[in-house]
Amino acid sequence: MKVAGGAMVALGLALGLARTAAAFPTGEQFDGDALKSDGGGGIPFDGAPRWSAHTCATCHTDAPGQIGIELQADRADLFTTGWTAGTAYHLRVVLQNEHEGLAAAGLGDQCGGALDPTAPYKRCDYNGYAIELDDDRGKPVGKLAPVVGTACAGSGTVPSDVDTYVLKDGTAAMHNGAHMAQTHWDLCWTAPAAGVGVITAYIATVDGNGGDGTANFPNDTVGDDVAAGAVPLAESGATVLTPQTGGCAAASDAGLGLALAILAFAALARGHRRRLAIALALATAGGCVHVHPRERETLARRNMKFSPDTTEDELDLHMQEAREGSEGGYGTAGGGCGCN
Amino acid sequence: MLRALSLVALALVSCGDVVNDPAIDPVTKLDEAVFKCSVEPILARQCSYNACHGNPGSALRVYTPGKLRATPAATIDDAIAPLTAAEEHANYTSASGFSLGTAAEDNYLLRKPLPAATGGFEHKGGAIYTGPSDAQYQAIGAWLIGAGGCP
Repeated sequence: MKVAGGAMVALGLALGLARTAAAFPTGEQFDGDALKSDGGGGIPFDGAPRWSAHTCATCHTDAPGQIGIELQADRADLFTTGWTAGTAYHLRVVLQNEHEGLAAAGLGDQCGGALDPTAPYKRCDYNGYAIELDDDRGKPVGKLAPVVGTACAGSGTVPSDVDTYVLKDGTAAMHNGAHMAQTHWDLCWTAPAAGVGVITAYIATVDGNGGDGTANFPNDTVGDDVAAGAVPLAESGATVLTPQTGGCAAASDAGLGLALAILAFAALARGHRRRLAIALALATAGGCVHVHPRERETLARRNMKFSPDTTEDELDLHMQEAREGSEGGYGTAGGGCGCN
Repeated sequence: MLRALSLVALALVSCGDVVNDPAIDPVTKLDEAVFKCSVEPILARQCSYNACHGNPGSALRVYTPGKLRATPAATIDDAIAPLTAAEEHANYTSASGFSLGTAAEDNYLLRKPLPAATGGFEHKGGAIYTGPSDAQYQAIGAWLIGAGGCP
């Protein structure tokens, strides 16, 4: 399916992430009842905060993490100046580096057993995706729709062979499941009214291997690959978030630190102590990482402590005291790392 | 010699049988019908996935169609078949086990999936409830204290 408009603009995501009895080969299954049928109960597993960041990896376990995701749009300004209120964007979710089920990819839809039940079963290349776009409070915003031809589907009947299925509540979109061997899916997203601010697109994909290759299990969660990630989209005309500067820079300065360390070694070799001291100081400064307040929140979580279960700690301490006939010397009151 | 015998006698006198306080089997006090109508659907939707409680190694083990089954499925049709009565009962006993000697508000089914700010902790799957006022929290809590019902 082609997307209308100019060249698609890509925003690459270097992402990699994540098996079950049955996967969700059709979009409708995400809306299905989890107890009465093999359904997801309306959970799209796209990594959004409202679903506790659960992704495809919630079922597709032990994934090799070799695939990636790319979000594309028909308008370059979505990723540069930001989204514009009321504008309909043609988005494309691309599964990169597909490596599972490739042997069946060339068959396209000419696989399985549905086309000719008398012929031997042919493995299918099942792949899938899910996406939702949330505001900074984690609430889905805008309107999602399948692409029909080159236009966004309206309120009428949507053809059954479109790429995308939208959840009944309209909050997320995923593969429709009409076609095999897909590595990209098109959808429409109409931006909300102005004033929402930064919107984040939460995306997840599955590179399926076509089950065990027989009609017994045409799809499952075993041996698939998954990826998930998030793309922030600024609002056009709003304050653009500038990259954090000042203090110590992260990541990219690791190379600077290494370079300065090499200079320090060279100064040491030449016996230039003053240059050595300067180079070492700079190398140390280059190794600093600026910890954002939101990152300190993560450090403050209970599961970041060596002994996060205080009840169990008390039990252990009680047993130790009874065993040794001693008490005390077990920690002190305090906030610890990460407290604000 | 006399002193040693006295000490042995004293030590023997101090021995006694330890009687455990018998705990009530939670299965005898939690309503299975209410579990099926108001708790099991929550566990199926929120918890039954393979990397989570659809894993046979999990303390809370949830059987659901298409995911964890008590008997390995030979075909996908077997896998997605409705739960058997034994699987439904196993879900009930698995969830009931968490109420052994625990007050409802401290029950791991309620506490762990709360947001950290409202007492949640160590739940690998993160915060599932929005807080104690979450309808799912309320439904499971009502079942645990015997106040739940079915429509």
